[in-house]
Amino acid sequence: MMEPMLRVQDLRTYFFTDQGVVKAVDGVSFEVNEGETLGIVGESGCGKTVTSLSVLGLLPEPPAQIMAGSSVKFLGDEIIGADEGRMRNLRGNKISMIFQEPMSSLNPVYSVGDQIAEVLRVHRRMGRKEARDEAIRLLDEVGIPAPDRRVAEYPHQLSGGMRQRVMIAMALSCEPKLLIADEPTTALDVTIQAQILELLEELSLSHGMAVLLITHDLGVVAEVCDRVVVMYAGQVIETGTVNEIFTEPAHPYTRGLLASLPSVTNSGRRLNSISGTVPNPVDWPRGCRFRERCPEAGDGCEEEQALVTLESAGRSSRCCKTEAVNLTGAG
Amino acid sequence: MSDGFLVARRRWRVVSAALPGLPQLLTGRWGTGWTVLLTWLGCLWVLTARYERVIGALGGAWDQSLALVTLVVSLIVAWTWSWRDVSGSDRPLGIGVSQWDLAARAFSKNHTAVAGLIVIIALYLVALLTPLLAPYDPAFQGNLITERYVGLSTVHPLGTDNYARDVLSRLLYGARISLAIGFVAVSISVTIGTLLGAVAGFMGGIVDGLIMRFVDIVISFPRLVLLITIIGLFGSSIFMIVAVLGLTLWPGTARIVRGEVLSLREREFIQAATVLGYSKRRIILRHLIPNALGPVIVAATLGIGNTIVLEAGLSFLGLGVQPPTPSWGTMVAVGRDDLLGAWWLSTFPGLAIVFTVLAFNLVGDGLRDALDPRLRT
Repeated sequence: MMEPMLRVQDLRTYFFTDQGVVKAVDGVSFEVNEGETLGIVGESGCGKTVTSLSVLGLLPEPPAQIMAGSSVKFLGDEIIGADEGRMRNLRGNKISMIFQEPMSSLNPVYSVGDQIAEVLRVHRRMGRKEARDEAIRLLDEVGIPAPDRRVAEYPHQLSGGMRQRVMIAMALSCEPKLLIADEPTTALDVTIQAQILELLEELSLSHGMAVLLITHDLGVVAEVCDRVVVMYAGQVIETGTVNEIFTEPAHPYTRGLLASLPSVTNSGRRLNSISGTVPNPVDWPRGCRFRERCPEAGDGCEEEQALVTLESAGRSSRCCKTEAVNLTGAG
Repeated sequence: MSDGFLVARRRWRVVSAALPGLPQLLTGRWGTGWTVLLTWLGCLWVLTARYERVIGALGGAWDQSLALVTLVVSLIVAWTWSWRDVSGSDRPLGIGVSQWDLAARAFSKNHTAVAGLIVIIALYLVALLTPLLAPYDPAFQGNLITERYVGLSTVHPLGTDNYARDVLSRLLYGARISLAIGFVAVSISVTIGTLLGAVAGFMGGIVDGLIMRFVDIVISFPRLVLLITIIGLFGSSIFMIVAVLGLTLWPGTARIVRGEVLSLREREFIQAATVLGYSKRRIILRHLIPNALGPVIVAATLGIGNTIVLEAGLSFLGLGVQPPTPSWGTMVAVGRDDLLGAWWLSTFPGLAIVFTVLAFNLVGDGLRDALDPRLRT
């Protein structure tokens, strides 16, 4: 089997605070293969963003600490504990990231062209003129009309969708192998969301770039992802391809998430919701962390749950009832 | 572009070439208009009325050369400014309007602030051109019997003092000292304060603690006592005054910048800069400081005013600029004894201080409004 481009293994990121140890990410493992789009889904506060920031080594230490035994391998090299110089060379160059809030992700005092050119000048050592031409080309590639004029525009003159496109152009400028997109469409309105997702998909295909898409929106996942990792309370609770997750969700939490989506069949009725909230990360419940909110909780749920591999290699679930449920589901 | 526009542009260009500033005045932009027109006419007047001195300045002392350069540069700048202004830019309207452009627009609508700015520009021009402008040498003494305490006259527009020196000439040379001290001292303090404040705010932790405790120590030093001590030890020189003022005024700037940086650091574009793999140096110098500059510019403008008052106060007490070098503070002090008999001795330098500081404060307030972050989007 081919070595995955990014392999995260048993990642534990704890925050040491006055209130206690916040186990924001507690033993997360997943892989991103070359060119694929992996979605990480979960409610707010389940550790998605901390996972991505840990991968890039962007969390301030202290209070954050990536615990011993955690491993993040990018193209076969361990990057946990890598020195700042190596990480800097990786960031923006091999791994890029775009953020949720395009309104504040661009520096207000420079024109967008200057900001894209800066990345090129830092990482690809381009000259002034060359960087500017490349910036115009990138703006064109991310679908900004009249790029030769827009290049002189300042962030406050652009709409949210345009700004997100500029962010994507900056992220793409060094042809990264991996793009981490943290809720890239949450702050945008629906029509723009669809355009941005389409753009990401297109670029991922044309550049052979893998995308790690972090979102709480299952609609987004269905649209662009190849595989999905569902996170809950700092753990991975289910993995699988998009098809598997949507047609045969194995974990009750995933089923809850899916049931709370509006669809054609339940139109006109009240949407389902998962009762309760994500538990306090200082003190995760013993046993299955979803137990208190789980409609199917019963015997065996007090035990610590292991991530069990199901029928295929990339398919797993962290629920002791998975098999039983699957049988009844099939029957 | 339409033919009508081109014809109009050609016409304005002719007007502008003949008398820079006039097109702006005629189209109601009096701020730019007066500045350019007065600079142009003033410099032309110096060139013609002080023709021999302009010639003599070639190869003269450094301040004469500086005055000559200022004269030529001002003429060129005034003329080309007006020309380019009426020519308009080729940039399409509404494209590439930076936050500085927006601030400049807001500032130009504030008439009192623009008036203050014109006064400041005029003051600095006059200060630089002083060797060409001043009717006498500031230390030149006339006949001590017949020419002391001469009132306002055509020979001595602002009269003479107790040593029969021309007050106008001393006032002009004094402007050089006051403005130079204010400008240089504030430049030093703003540079130090901005760098230290940005580093402290960005790095946080121990670095922040060390820098800010150092700031506390510098602030808790009584500045006047420090000044008197240093001047007592090393004697009073302009260099010393500038150094002491520059090296004690920076903590204010450092605190402002640190506060700004602390809030900027959490903004996503700074995170984005880290994600893009930029070095700390680049993030501080290119991304944090330009965004924290607004309040710094305001503080610096107000700071120049304060420094000028401070210097005048020191000189008034005899601790600052030493005679016979003219300074506004010293001149007020000298005139104090003769206030009833020769009112012009203290009045004109006093008014000069008031107007200069007022101008800096007006501009500072105008900048504060123009750079208000709430106006930004």
